[in-house]
Amino acid sequence: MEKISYTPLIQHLQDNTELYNQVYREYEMKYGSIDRTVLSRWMVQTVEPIVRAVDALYPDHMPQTFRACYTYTLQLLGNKSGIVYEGEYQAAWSLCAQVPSLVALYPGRLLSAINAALDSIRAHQPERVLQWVTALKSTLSYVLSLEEFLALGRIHAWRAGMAHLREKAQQEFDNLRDVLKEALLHQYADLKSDHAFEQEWPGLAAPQFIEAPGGYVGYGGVFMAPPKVAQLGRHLLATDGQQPYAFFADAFGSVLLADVPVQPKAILKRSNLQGLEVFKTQFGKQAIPFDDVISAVLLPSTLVLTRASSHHLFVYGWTR
Amino acid sequence: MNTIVNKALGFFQKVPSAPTNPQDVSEFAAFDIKDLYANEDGADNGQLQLGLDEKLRQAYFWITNSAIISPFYDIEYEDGESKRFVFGDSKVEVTLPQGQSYSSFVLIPLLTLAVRGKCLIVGGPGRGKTATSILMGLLAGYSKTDVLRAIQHGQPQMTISDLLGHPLPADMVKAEKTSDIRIAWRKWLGMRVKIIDEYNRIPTRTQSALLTVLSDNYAEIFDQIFECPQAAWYLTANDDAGGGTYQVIEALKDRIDIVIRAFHFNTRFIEDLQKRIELNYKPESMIPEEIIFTEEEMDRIHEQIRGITIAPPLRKRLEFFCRQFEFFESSSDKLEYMTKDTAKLSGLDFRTLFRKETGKDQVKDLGSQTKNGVSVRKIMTLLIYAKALAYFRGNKQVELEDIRQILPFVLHDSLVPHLESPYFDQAGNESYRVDRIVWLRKLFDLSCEEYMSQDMDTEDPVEYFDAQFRQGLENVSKKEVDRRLLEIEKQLHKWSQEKKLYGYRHDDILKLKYFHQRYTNYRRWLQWKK
Repeated sequence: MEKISYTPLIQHLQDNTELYNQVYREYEMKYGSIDRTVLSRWMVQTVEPIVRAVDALYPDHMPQTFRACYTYTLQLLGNKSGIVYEGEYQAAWSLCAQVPSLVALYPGRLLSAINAALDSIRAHQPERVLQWVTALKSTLSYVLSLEEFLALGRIHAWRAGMAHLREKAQQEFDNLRDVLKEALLHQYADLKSDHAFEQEWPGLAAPQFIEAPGGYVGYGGVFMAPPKVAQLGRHLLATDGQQPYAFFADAFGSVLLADVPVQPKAILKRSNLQGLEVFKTQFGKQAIPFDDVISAVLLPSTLVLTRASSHHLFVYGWTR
Repeated sequence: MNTIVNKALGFFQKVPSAPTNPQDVSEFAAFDIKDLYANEDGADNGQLQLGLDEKLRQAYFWITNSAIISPFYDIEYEDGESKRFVFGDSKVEVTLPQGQSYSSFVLIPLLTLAVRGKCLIVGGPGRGKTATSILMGLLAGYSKTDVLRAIQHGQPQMTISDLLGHPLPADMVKAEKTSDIRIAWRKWLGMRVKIIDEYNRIPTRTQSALLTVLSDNYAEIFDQIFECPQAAWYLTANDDAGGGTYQVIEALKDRIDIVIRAFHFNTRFIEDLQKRIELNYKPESMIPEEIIFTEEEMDRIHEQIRGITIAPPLRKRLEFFCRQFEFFESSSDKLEYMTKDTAKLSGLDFRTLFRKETGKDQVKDLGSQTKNGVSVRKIMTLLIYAKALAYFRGNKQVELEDIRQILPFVLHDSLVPHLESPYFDQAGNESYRVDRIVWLRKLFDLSCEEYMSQDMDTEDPVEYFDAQFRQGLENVSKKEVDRRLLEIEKQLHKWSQEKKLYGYRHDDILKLKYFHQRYTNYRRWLQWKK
């Protein structure tokens, strides 16, 4: 087993043996047996560098930093997500060592925010978690406050395919300090454009099929039956008659958010083909090659339709 | 002549040098934060463990072989086919166990020392109750004088001052407030072994003061507090049925962890007594140094005992056993209140209420055999003593036989038999009315048989729900919560089709209701969060 070697941390552990043993026992009571080899690896590879970074600048905050890291580690190892997605968590937690001042002040909030972000991105864009971590890492050196850290996190999450964060990302970007804006523009050159946030599908002169999210639950999708879509206010909603979803899509990815507070019946009632008719009028009948479309929603630069023979949503996009 | 006597006395001090119960040695599994930074200290712990459980066994065998003449092996471990013989009209069966078996009269006080429990030794005069307690004090490292002085002899005139200490006379005169009065605390309060001889002869008021020390580990006089260290308690009584000078208060009885009965003296060992007289042999004066435990060793043993594991299948058998008894269908029309506690609090005659329980097979229903359920304190005691017994036997994991053997002594005074139960009228069951140890062991056996007949190891729906719930609610979607709620409702519906309601099902239903409520609350929170 790997062992912690940082002397001040060892001293702290020796002084608080009973406390940390008790915390461990509490998590073991809650989750069952926790793999000690993995715990040890986490402590050495992930937690110790964070503690070292904090202790170098804020030695008084080292105990609370370690305590937060320890409890969140036990939580992750207890519910096994820290074992299944070990690489993702370790990469994301390593960000903390870059912002020791934030970790020292808000260790619990910071780790909680990182874990929540990973959970969320993994739920919708599982293959882009590490992309988010890498992107955030490259802009982190200019961050001064927890709010800035969270704002950058949201903007990068949007770029990693979390389309529902688009509006929020725009607000956050507008409020950022110039140095952070510069860092982001350096990374995402397209943000220099005046309409970067308004344009869902840049560079598409004519409507084009983009993707088909959703799918049958038996094949790892979300719908039990061919879904229908409807527009409620500014939101595009989809349902299979059992569960309601909100749908967001842009050039960086699409997201189906579950558990929205709308009755499936209300979505079904509002679903229709009007959007498809308008679209065909504008772009021609041949643009949609299906004859079994059961619902469609037309947004300013997006068409989403569903078919009787499919459990997917069909997304078309074009530049406004 | 002196040389011969010394040689003979040396024989009594002999401690077996070979392992008394050889076992594989490996490190204990309990987590310690030290594991994250300390280098290779674990090996030392393993060595220490080997030494300590072996030392405990050496102490046991020294007591049984050289100190207390207790040639009884009532805690039996069978290792393969044991030979059995049947005697007399009553067809009493005597087993010659192949595994290492023990005398409860010696073993349980020793385990009490290890777990710092509270042991009541019951038996007639001259059966060695106090002598055993004194030996435990000596094993804990105290001198014979200290132990003898620390024994509290119950007597009808015993006051709180006799028990705890008295205020200094000079302070009583000078003090302006009670907190200024210093107390001369009795020395026994600070000891790690506490002996109360004939505790049922202590007056009721003094018993209440003793209760505070026993249960809360502190003594109080004139607003002064004395914090006592964790200790093993030995209480003796000539008659456990409350026939001493004073009735023992219920709360004090309830705090006692384990009860053992002193055995009669086997007259085939009178020759040993004769030798002791001739050699002037007093075991308490000749206790070998090798089996005396230091305070640190006792702490270590306690820690290691807590680290002994109880495998889920065993724990489930224990759970199944414990949930048989509290349920009492006639006490209410609401499931939560259908308990023997409700019946007891009502003050109504238990027999009258019991007669209202119709339709159920009272012989099969284990709950019909008791007037109460198993308390939390007793379950905890049972777990720690089962661990201690496994530790004593050199195991890292509790075995079913450990629980089966220790259970009757733990529940001896707390699980009250309902002697009017039809079960006791069955042929061959009459003796269970008299002998609680045998009855309780039989009760556990019956419970295990029922557990097996229901195939609870593989077919336990509550375990399935429990495992699901233990994974936590983090990131569980509303859809998944709805699915789980539906599953719970389906299971409850299935159980509702069973015609009779038994004790074990009572707790199962309440547990599923608990899960249902937790999921419902979580679902509500999910909706609110949105």
